[in-house]
Amino acid sequence: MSRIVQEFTKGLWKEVPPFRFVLGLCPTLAVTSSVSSAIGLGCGVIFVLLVSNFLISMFRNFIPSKIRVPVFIVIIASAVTIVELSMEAYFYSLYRVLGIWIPLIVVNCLILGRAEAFARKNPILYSIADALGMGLGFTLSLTTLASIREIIGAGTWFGIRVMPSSYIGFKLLQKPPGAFICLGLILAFMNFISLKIEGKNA
Amino acid sequence: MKVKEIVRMVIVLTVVCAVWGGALSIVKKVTEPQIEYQRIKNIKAPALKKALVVDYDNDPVKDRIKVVVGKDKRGRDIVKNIFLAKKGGKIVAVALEAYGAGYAGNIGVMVSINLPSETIGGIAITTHSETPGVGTRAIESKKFKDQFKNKSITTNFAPGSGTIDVVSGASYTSRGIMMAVQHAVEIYKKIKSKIGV
Repeated sequence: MSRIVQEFTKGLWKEVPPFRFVLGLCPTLAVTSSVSSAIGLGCGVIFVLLVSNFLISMFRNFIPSKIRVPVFIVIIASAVTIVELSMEAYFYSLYRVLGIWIPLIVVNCLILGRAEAFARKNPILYSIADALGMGLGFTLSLTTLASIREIIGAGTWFGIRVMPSSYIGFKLLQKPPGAFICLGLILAFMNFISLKIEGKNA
Repeated sequence: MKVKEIVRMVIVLTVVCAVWGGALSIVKKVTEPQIEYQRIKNIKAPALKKALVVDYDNDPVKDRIKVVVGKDKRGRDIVKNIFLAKKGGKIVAVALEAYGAGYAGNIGVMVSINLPSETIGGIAITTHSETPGVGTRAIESKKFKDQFKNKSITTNFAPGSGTIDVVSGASYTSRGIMMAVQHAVEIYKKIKSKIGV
């Protein structure tokens, strides 16, 4: 039980994907200009991660290691297509905003990375915990980044105005370079805190 | 041993692909009508709303019917969505989209036909790739588009017939729109009996 908790929580801080592994950066930078699109993409990633980790872990003893990558890709790509189709059918406005980034979840290194590094070596329960933790960590990171960018960049949060109406916005943060700068600052901040914690323990 | 390994790889990959392919086709089947509805609602409906000038109380996107209007070069059926605007259950107007060649590619025009008078209600542009600031003047010109209003469907709208004045400097675009309207009227005449009006 404690291991399940451990596998779950590691994705939230110790190995939080975009900040620690610096994986899946492309969508991270692209969709974080607004909080709602960040959460939308995050949910898509959680679903795909869950499906792929679950299936790969379930069949890990049947998949010959020589063809594991094609099998992983088929599983991941199909899950992404399911996400894409259902998003277009039921969340059309979100689908329009995310656009090309939905099919591109396939090539998100995070998902193939978890399949390769974790799910193919570990039992189902741990793999699900890992997928949930990593997916949630990814979504939370995206949300944090998007919140900073949306609040400071546009003065809104979830599209609702939070800054005084005289606030004209800091346009740089709405642009991709602003995402890079934000990401770097968050990364530095997290490392700083981690070092502090480690220093105390030592 | 070697052969066994190869056979195993082939079988595993085939099974994985087949199972997922099947699953995908089921998802596609389930979501298809909803996706089509969303596409029409979000892409065509704004133009549809502009084209329909009569009072109606239904959702024309939901009450659309599919009609075969002809065959393409390969012999497959060309299916068109016909949108029905109803008031108190009675069809008061039909709307359909048709295309005409503009200066740069096809121009899509949503044309509504009022019933039972069988006159053009209004037109609205759905898609185009005309030159901004030049050809688009015909697309934005209310005066140009209003010329179609209340004209009977027996009118010849084709360029050169003299019924419609083109926007000067945007004649290719104007002609494209006229051709599209003419085309829409012809389709309507052809399928009139099938929609029961």
